[in-house]
Amino acid sequence: MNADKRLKEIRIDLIDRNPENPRIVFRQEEMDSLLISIQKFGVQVPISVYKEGSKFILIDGERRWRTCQKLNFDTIPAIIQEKPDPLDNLLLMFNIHALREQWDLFTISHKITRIIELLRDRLGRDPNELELSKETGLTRGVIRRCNLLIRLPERFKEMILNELHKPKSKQNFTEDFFIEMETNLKTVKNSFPDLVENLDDIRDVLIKKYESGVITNIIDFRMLAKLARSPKNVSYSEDEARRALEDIFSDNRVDIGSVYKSTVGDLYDEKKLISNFSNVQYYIENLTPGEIRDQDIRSALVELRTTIDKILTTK
Amino acid sequence: MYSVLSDHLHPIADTAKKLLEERFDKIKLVGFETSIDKSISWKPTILWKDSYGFIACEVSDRPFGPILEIAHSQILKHGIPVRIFTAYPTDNDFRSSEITRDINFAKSNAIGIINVNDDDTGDIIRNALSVPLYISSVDFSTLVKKLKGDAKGAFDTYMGGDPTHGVQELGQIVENIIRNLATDAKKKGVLTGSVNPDKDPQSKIIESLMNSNVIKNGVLGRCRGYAEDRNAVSHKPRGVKQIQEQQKRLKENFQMGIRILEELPSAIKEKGFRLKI
Repeated sequence: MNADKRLKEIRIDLIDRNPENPRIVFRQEEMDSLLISIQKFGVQVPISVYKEGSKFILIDGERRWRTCQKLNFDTIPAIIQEKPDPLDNLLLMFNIHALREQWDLFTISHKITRIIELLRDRLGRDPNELELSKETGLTRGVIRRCNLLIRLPERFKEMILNELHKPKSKQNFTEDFFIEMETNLKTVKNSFPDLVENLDDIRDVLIKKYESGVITNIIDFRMLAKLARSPKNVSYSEDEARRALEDIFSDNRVDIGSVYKSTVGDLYDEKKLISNFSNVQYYIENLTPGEIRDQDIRSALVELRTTIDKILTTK
Repeated sequence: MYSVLSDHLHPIADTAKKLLEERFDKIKLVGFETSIDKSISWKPTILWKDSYGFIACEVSDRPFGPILEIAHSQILKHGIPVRIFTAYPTDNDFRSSEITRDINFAKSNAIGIINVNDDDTGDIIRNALSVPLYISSVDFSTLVKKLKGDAKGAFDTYMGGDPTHGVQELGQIVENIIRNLATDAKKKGVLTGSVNPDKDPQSKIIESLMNSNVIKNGVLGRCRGYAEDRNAVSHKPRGVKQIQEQQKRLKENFQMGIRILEELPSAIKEKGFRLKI
């Protein structure tokens, strides 16, 4: 082990929190569980710090450090690391957490902009998604989801932050809610740019509908994208699709599901059926001689033919 | 100011601080998230001191978490005079059943409760009892029916952060019983000597009852000691040691008051008198 990378008992009052720590929400229930564990068994995993003058700055273990302070501990076991540069400082925290525990997406989003800035300085250009993923240890999917949250107007970010203080099971307007809403509104924007000119108003309407129970499931937002793509995907009238979306985006009690069902629902069901039939046809056409000789497969095919014949001869 | 307390609870702490400083006008701020004593595994959010010991306030999303359980049992063990308050946001995300359960825990541990609203106003809905004065439970089933209600009331006053009045309430019940007994004994001619049951000091009445052997002297002796001690603990203490001694006596007085209420009725009945309060 490097001489500067050693395990020591450090006085708690000499440690300061890391201003770059992406974690901004410490939920009471989680803190209480940790407190019970530390009071009972002590700190089982050392925190990580680096030295800054006469003080130490946290790299990893803010919850443990906070809990030990609350429990009036004098010292805490810590691994002292070399002082990282600002970018490495942040990346280190990301990598530690990506490996060990799930951060709230919003927590990550909050700091990812800073990482992009610092990487831009280092690379001399904007980092791409792959580079960001490599450096932070986050998957590209997570980075994409974070980007959706970063681009939200401040008041919606505050809304998420308020929700994050609640225990997970009691969060209503979750990060997932906004991610689902934003992803699908993006599709609507691509198909009908003029329809979502007042995007904030639309968000407000959808939030209100979710709050009042008109929209009951966040995956209903996916039907918005389907409606928006319906002229292309199921040859639905563009005017009708526009009207349907306008209806949903109006301040009323119209829910996404019923509009979807009364407009493009059947067309999508039909498309799905035809696609499934095509799959079946493909499998049948590509049966191997051995499979064709198999008695079970032959019986299944006969049964299928009987059913098809029966359906086609019925007027 | 705070390094442990979550940002969203800072306004709750500020309101709790304001309310407690208004309630206890002569308290001196010791600090934020500071230690009471090395032996206690708890740094309360805010800590003050006054002539009766420490006042500590824990700010949290819920009224009673594990830290208060730990703190209370350790402070009790070490006998440090601390009045603990818990401050929490009324606009919280816990189920009302969880909050009710927490509040009941706080109450049964004689912890003061502060409700803080989302407009930063709040109320001290319950006062705190200094932890060494804490009495885990009283067995009221050993008391006669006539005394149960008043004794329970005195216990609520005591545990609700006003131990002196709790002891006084018990003392008042005992005094009423003694004076009524003296009146009846005098009527029956059992109590001799020049004593006025309505006007004379209680100690003089007890002395006369003892001299005339009206009831068992043992229980009367305890009544006398109890009446004397009730006055002794009303002086303002000087220093932690005096606070601890005084609180110890106050707690013993309450327990003694209950014991007297257990014994007096049977002693009175034994000699053919009726219990009057």
